[in-house]
Amino acid sequence: MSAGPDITEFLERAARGDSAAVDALIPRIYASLRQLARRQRVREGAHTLETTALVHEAYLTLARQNGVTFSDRAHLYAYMSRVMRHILIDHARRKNAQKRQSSEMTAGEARSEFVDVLALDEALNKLAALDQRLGRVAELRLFAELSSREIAEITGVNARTVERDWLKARTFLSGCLMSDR
Amino acid sequence: MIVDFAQRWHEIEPLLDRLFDVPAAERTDWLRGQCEAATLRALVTQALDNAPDIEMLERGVAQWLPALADDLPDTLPSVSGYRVLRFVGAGGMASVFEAERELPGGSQTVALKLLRIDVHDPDERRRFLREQRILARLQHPHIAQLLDAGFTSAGTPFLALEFVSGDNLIAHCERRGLGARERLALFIDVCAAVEHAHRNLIVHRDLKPGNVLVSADGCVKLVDFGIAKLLTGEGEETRTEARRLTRTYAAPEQLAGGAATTAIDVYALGVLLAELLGGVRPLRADDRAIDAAVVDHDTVDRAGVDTRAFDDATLRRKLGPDLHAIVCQATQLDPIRRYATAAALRDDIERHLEGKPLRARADTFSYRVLTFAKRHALAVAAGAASTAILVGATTVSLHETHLAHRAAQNVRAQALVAEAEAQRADAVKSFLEGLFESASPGTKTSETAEELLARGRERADRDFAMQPALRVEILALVGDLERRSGHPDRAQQPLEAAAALAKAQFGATDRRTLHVEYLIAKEADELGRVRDATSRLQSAVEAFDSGPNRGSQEEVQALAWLAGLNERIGESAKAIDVGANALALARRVLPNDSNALTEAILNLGWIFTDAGHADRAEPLLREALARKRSQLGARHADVADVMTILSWALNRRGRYGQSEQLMRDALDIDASAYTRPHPHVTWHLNDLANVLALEGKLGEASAFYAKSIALDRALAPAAALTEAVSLGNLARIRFSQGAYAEAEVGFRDAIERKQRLLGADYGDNGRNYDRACLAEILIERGRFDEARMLVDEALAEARRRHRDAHPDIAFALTVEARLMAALGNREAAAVRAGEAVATYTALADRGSDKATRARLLFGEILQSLDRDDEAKPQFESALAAARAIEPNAAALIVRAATDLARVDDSLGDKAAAHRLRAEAEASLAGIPSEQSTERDAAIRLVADASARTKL
Repeated sequence: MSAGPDITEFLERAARGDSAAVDALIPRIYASLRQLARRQRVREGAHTLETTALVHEAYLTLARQNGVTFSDRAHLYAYMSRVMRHILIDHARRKNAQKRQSSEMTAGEARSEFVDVLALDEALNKLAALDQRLGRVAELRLFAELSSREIAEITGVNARTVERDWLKARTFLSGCLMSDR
Repeated sequence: MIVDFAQRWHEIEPLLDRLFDVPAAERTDWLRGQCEAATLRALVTQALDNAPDIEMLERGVAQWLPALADDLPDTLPSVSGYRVLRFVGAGGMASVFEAERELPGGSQTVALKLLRIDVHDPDERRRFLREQRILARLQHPHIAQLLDAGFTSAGTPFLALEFVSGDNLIAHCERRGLGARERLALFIDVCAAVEHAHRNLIVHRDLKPGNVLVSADGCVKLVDFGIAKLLTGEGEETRTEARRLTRTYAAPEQLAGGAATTAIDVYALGVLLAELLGGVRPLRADDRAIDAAVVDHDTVDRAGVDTRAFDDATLRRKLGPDLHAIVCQATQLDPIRRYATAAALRDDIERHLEGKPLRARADTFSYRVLTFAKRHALAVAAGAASTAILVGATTVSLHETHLAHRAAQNVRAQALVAEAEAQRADAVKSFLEGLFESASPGTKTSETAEELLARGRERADRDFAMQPALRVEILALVGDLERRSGHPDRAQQPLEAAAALAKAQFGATDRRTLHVEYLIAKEADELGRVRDATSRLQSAVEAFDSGPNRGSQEEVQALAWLAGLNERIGESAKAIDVGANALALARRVLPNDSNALTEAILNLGWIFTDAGHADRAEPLLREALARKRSQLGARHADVADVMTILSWALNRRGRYGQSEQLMRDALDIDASAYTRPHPHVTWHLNDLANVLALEGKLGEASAFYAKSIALDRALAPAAALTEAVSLGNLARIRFSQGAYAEAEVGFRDAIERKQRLLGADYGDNGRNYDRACLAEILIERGRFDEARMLVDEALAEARRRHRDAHPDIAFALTVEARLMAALGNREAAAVRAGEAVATYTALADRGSDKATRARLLFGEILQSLDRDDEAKPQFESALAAARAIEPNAAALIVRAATDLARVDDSLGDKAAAHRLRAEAEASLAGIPSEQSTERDAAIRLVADASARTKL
């Protein structure tokens, strides 16, 4: 899988906030993620998906293949979180379409222990419309597993504010998810 | 009606900004006060900390990834020896597959767990396999059996477990719509399984609904026992483990990277119980952290606000009072305050189901300090002490035990193998000892020591699995160190394991077995299980005595402790007999500088004092004090504790001056020995106040009680019991000052507090004395019916508790005599007072304050019946005792002298009467000039006497 030569341009446009550019990036990054996941799985014979590692590794692959350099490493994670969100939404949509008939037994987690990605996406959109910074913090926290300090770097506020933002965002999301039920 | 949260965000947001400054537990109340719009309030409340989605939102992307990966073209792993059939599920630590393995009898279906770690280092691999062997020994009907473990060709560790097909506990109950009793029945099985594992020294570490499965036929099976531990190496940061844990169920100390003890499983069980019964989840740790940051942390700790995992109001509402209390006790943030064992938790649930009163107390506080204070409670209750204090502080030093063992080994010239084993034991012991000695209790270091102890326990099981003698020793040592560092609750598990192992390996006649039993008795004693401890240690001693190993240090220790226990349950004669035997044995077989010998001396001294034989106690206690000073140095904290016991004996002998000086010295030692508020200091303050009260320095005594109470409050809630004791003592001062109404209120408050704190144990801890005291107050207030009821109960209880003559019985009799006299029934009063005096006589008590007053009362009653001849010896004896008191007990002398003068007068000995009146008059000046009923009475008596002379 080789990314086209235009990826740097897409990334730069994305950096300026061009959502079409983000959409264009998704298939490439997604492919990269899938490939990584698959490789890891074969190697270890298990689902060894350490999120952060995965996101980071996917970025490194992309960056290596395309000679991308970022002055601010943290910004890339911001994109990756956006990408991850889209990937999960795609996945959830496809899943919904296939709708399995039987609930599978899981020894690890019960099904009810998952937030519905699609409902969450909707709530996140509402949140971003009301308060862009809160939406941003929530996305970074949810999909890139960034620490408050890292998020603070990206959003330009201090870590304590990020903590508070997240509590607020979390309450908002929880409130929306609840009224969806 | 579903209201769109987003639509009202403009109202919600400003509210949240202020709300997050309010501690999580208070948010619901805060909202009620600040937000009048009901819909808005409901919206915010339901979205807050306990909302079901919060936990999932916190988990972030990790929750969806397994499903995402599951969609990728499947490559089932290949594990040699197994046929992997299908992917079953994935959790935070492992992926699970259903697989079959071929066995001689046919094929077996197993759950194959592939762990999310790679293990390539050979040492790590060995560790993994060793742990796995320990886990494989864990067999219980409610635990999914570990069948096999190993590594795939890729190096991924795997475990093969008994395959359980079913729902998790919560889902099972929901799906079948089970009621509370049925849910609790299942939960009891869960506890039983955890209990079993704990007995085998295995901590689950990751209990949560997903790990508690219920098969189709309703059988509970716990999975993944101890597997969390496999994921962390010894050198690896425990943080890693914390990251992998499901945060909701993880105990705070676990998330903080603390040692994995059984207490973390108890916590998780509590959370599970709350979810199972009420769908309630704990407040999030980060919310608590924010609360703590908002409120100054010390304040939070002191006030005990931040000690709960749940939003209390919600929990109480959903679970009802009993189960609320149970969950609270299990999920205390401070592990010491939780149920000591899963068994204790299960026991309370069973009590709840049977409608019995719970052991969980709404007002939970450190059980350790409670029981320590409990034992001290009576020692500090003026004059009525009938409980051991500080016997626990006089343990044989480990260093000495270690030397003695080594000497014993030389003598017995054990086989080389045993020798080598013992040397390793010595090495490990020195390690642990060093650890313990270097860490003074309550400091930061001791936290580390606790972790290391937990590790030591694990190592005992793992590294010494094949060396039983060593394992017994290490387990016993770890248990004892846990107790000594203030965790008798945690001591139980290793000690019981050591006892079982010792009995099986060495038999009941071995000194090692007896030693473990002795340690168990100490632990049970500290936890308040006095009667159990007595009978168990008694049987252990008997079993030991039937063997060939009599006359060892272990026997001395066990006997001395058994003696103390007998005194505690009211068997004074037996206690003295056993204690004297222990001491004789100690003097015969132990070296003169032995600490165990000192312990035996101190122990017998304490028993004598408690049983009312202060005269016999004093020389022993002085010897013990001298020994402690030479062994530990003159300013060691233990020396101050021995001084306290001696001071108590001196009080009983009327040596108030010496006693007061001793307590002042003890407090001086405390000032340099303790760097922060410490319970012993509050006891010592109380003891000083007691002496001052006896000396009639009521104002100064009040001041020291007040100091003690202030310190108790600084130590709250741990010092709640000593606070109650001090409040009672303060009320008795008010009584002496003639403020009877105030005395009654204060003393009732003290009794109420003790009742609440001690529960059923109050009976063993001075309830009869307290009732007699209250009756005494009520007599002065003219409330004879109430007084009568109380004193009758007190007397009956004192007699029931003490087979032999005892100061408590004598005191209750004295109060009853006073009541009869107040009611005008002088004949009955004379009988009671006579019995009281006879009891003191049987105890050979001639000098104590209470005995002297009993004699005076008896004489005065006799005199009122015109039995002057009989009254005279009582007055003479009382006067002699009052004169012997140092410093001068002026008020008592005035009373005894004027009493005797009256008798002499009516018997015709005018000269003697005159001399006595002069003595009384001269003594008057010696009474401290402050408000006291005794002083008023003395002035009145002297005035009467001089009026009589003039006649």
